[in-house]
Amino acid sequence: MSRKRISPNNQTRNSKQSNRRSPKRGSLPVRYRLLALFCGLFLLVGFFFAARQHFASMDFSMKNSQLRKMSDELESDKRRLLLAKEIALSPAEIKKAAQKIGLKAMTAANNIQIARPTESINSEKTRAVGKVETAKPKPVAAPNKPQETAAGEKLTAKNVAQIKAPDVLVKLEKKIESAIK
Amino acid sequence: MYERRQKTSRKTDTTQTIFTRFMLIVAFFILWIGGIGVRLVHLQVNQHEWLLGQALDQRRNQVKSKQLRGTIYDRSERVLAMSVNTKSLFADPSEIEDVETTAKRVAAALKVKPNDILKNLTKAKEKGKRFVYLARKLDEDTAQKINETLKDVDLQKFDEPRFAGIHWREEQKRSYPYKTLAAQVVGFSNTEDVGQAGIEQSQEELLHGAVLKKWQDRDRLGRVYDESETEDEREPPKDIVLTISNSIQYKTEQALEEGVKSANAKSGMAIVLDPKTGEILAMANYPTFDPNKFNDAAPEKLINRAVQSMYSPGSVFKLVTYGAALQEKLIRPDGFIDCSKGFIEVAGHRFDDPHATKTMSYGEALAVSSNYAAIKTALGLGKEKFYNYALGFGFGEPTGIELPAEARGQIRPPDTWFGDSLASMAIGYELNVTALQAAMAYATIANDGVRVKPHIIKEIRYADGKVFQNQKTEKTQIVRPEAARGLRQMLQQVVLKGTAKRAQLEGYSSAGKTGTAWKYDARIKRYNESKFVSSFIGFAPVDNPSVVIAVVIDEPMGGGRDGGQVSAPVFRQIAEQVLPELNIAPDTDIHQETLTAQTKIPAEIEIAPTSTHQTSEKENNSTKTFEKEVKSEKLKNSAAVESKKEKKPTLVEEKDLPKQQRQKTIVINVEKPKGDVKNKSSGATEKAKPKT
Repeated sequence: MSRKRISPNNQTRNSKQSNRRSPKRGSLPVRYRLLALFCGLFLLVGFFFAARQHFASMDFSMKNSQLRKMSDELESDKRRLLLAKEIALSPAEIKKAAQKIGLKAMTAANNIQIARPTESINSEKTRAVGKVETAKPKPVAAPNKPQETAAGEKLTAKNVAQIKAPDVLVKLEKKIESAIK
Repeated sequence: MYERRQKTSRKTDTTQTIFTRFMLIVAFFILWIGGIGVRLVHLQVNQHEWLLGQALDQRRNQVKSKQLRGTIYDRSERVLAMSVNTKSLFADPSEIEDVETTAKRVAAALKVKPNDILKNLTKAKEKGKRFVYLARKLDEDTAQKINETLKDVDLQKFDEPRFAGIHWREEQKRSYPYKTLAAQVVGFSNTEDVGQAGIEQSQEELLHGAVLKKWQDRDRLGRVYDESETEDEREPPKDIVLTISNSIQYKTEQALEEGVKSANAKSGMAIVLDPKTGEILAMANYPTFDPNKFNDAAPEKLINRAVQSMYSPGSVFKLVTYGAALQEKLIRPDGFIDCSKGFIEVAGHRFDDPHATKTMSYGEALAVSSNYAAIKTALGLGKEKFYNYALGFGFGEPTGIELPAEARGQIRPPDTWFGDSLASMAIGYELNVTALQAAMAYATIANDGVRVKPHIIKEIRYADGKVFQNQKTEKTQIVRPEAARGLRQMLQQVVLKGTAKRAQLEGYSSAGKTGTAWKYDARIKRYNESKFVSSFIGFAPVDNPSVVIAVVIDEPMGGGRDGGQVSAPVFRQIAEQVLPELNIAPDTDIHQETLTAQTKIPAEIEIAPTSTHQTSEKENNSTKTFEKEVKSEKLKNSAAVESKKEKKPTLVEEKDLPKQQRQKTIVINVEKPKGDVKNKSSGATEKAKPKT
């Protein structure tokens, strides 16, 4: 086994040769370098874009979750307001409010006058007279006579003017408006 | 040469050393990487599940909530029961370091004593509990105030309240906006949202919401960035629309309350129903309760007596007696019956009747509530037919209404009857009915003999309005339309001339029957003559009935106690408000003077089947003899009706009649089961005085 010894002269010559050759061998053409740069940049932008998308999606998810929560809360509020409205409109509450403003309960005769259909009354009249008349709408009650509220109370022109929307309803309206906003 | 050799060996040694060292480092790295690899494999393969769970635990949490319970509406879509979201405050003692400070802060926020909270928290912490309720079912405003009070600025917590170890839990609260209105019908649900009474109980399966499991992914700050929801296999909750009208219900309840209070009675019930469709428009009970505070209500107030309580109907049951007889063509409304005897004796039991003093039409007999006429009519029918008709009218069986714990009533089969049972049942004793059963029997007559299954649920639907189930009407013809019309005429006589003049309406014709029955007292094991159940069941208008109204007052104590005086005015009050509301055109004139002659109203006399039982030695007299006698009576009666049809009948006083024409008293002695012989009160005759 003999080891081939390289003389320093040879070594220098070889390295010199290789140095002379290396720019030709090792250097890539500019277009390749540009392509590599472009690919690198593309990858970088891709990563950047992906990261941005990831964080954006996280952000949207959070917003979505908040909106969903808000929607649930609004739905709950809606139900609560509906319930409050029903409480305010319950016959017992209306009766209390009516009594507060001095309305009185209607008599059976008032009730029946309202219920009696005008057509049947007119038709009886026409039958008796023997000529055809156009059925005129009969006033439900005389203007000075009290009319009925939902709870069966009297309404007169005087106390109708006194009726104000109950505080609860005003509050409800405000709440609804703010909820819509 | 040596030097050169030495130099060469030294060089070789250095290279080898470097190589060895390098290889050692490489080996070390390989071992290190190998170790990491092994560890990774171990973690990823063997400990995968556990690690996954740990990871999910850190970023994920599960929130359990229940879908809101279905809403109950009345027929005009007004909310009778609705659930709303509420918040409950709870503590996780394991997350709390300073229990005392926490207790003080929480107590200040909730405005309660800190000692109670401190006690609870300390106890829970010692036991290692991780859940302690601090306040339940709070509304949104209160929750907001608590959040503001319990704000710890230094704490990094995303959810409110921003206080260590304190959390909110979503719950729901059932609300009944109309409070006492239709309380027994709607019922109530407990804190766990499980129906306990009324529709809430009977429709629990439909109303109950599914349990929702919400998975939330959170970032390190606790912000939710992803959510997914799962629900159990239960169907989504449905909304229920009732046939009840809140306005009619309110008016009915008001009238009933007034009636019960003025009669100083123990309780009362009223039913308003549409005879054509079987829809219950109102079902009222008094005293009542507020389902929002059901814990405060006395247990007896929670019962829907209209379907759960039974009572002896008394004369109201004569509808079945006369209805069956009309159907069997045994009697005619304008037929006559000789009631001059004044009493009737059946199986040794004497039934006195002060109204039975003359020959009168069946209409008149029913108008004055003659027991004599009713018993004779029932005897003409016979046990089997009477029993079958009673069943046909719906007695002895639950009506099938969608309410819980409906009583079936009590009517024994004929083979277990006593000798006088038929007579007793003909006037509404020895049997028990519910107010709804009685109302449905009258609805059958009002609906031309067609019995319609009553119902209180109009529609069941999903929350989005899609219909899940509609009600179907079941109809059965019980009596001929002519027979029903005949009975309606007879019942009108009760209101116009008889015991129920107080049931006359302004602008509408009405018909019905009063009933005043002694109450059975379990303590003394017999009918208590001082306790009554006074009822009136009627309908209006007579020709085309739109509503049937049943009013039953239990144990009236003040003034008049009979159905005509106690229940008929309540009927009137309800009908006069309900009929115009239903847009029913008046069929008579409005007259205020109709009720002026209050004193002329014949009081109803009820004789309970409890008089001294005369045990005769001729107890072996069979029912065959009785039937023969009845048949001959029937023939006589029909002949009399035919002959009187020709002439306009005039009422004849008893003394004017020849002795032969007077009705024979039928005496039947039938053996009673031993040991069950009732104590017959001799007070029947004494009670048989007109109460004015």
